[in-house]
Amino acid sequence: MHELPVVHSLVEQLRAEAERLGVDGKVAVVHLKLGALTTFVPEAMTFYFEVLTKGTDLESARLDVEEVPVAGTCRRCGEAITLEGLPFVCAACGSPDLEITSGRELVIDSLEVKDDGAG
Amino acid sequence: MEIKIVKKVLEAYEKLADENQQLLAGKGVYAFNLIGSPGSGKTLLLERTFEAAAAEIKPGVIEGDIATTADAERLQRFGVPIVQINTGPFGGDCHLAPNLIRAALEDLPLDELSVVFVENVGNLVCPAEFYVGENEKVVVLSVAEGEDKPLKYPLAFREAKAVIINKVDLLPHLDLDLDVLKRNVAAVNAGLDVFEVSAKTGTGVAAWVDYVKGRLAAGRN
Repeated sequence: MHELPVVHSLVEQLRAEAERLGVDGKVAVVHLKLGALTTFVPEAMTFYFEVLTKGTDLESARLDVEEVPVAGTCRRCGEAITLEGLPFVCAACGSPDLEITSGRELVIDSLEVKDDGAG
Repeated sequence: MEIKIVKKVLEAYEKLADENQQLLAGKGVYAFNLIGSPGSGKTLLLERTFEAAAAEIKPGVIEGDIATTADAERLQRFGVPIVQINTGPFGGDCHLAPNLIRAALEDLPLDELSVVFVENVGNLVCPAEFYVGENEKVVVLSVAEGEDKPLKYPLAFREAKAVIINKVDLLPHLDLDLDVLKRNVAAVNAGLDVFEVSAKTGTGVAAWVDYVKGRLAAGRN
């Protein structure tokens, strides 16, 4: 349920960005990066996005959610790791002492804008 | 045409939370953000903590609930400053957001306090997601909730620095295997400090209170 206020923030930011870039009404796809460790559910994000953009400049925009895996480095052996699931241990040496550097993202990565041919 | 943006959706939230932390640090106040399921025993843990050490640790409390002031009323007998936040009255937010914490901090006499306990809305999902400016999150998990909760709600246990395994007095009546629960906690975050507590009987409360005092002492040095 907590996706709703988050998507509300997302939509407000998108409006401001689109206006700043002079592309309001032309956004076709919004690429969002979502870390696998967050508690936000992609399907809920896209559903609320549709609800909150209906009847607005962003109505024709589609939200594309790309999941970012949980990744980092083992502090013991230095191995770069990507976690597919639990437990939180290094696949190489088994140490639980990990520096997690990705997996908590909630980032507007890019916008795809319709080329209206008007130059 | 693709336009690169790379902007955090929760940037405004994070900025507010950072400002809360600066406000607390400026006053020399340490903040715990207690998260746990409804009924895990967060409020009773605070009662036991204050019975043991309210005069020494000079606490303030921010109580988050969707509705009612019941928790704040339970803590009133200690005479500690309490701000009740209701996110309701019937539905409301499932967590405390940094802007609500800011308003609550402004209502607390921070100059007189050493520590603030934020008792978040009972929920293991959403409060884990939001940094509100605290120094550390602590999960309160009761043994009646089952061994699998760390595996089902990994973010809460990843974000926390300590976990209180509460209601251990109930263990003789439950099928729960405490070793399995602790193994599951370690699978998600082996770096957590783990306290086995019964806030009801007082078992293990002293170790937790020492931990709190240790954090405050470290913050002062």
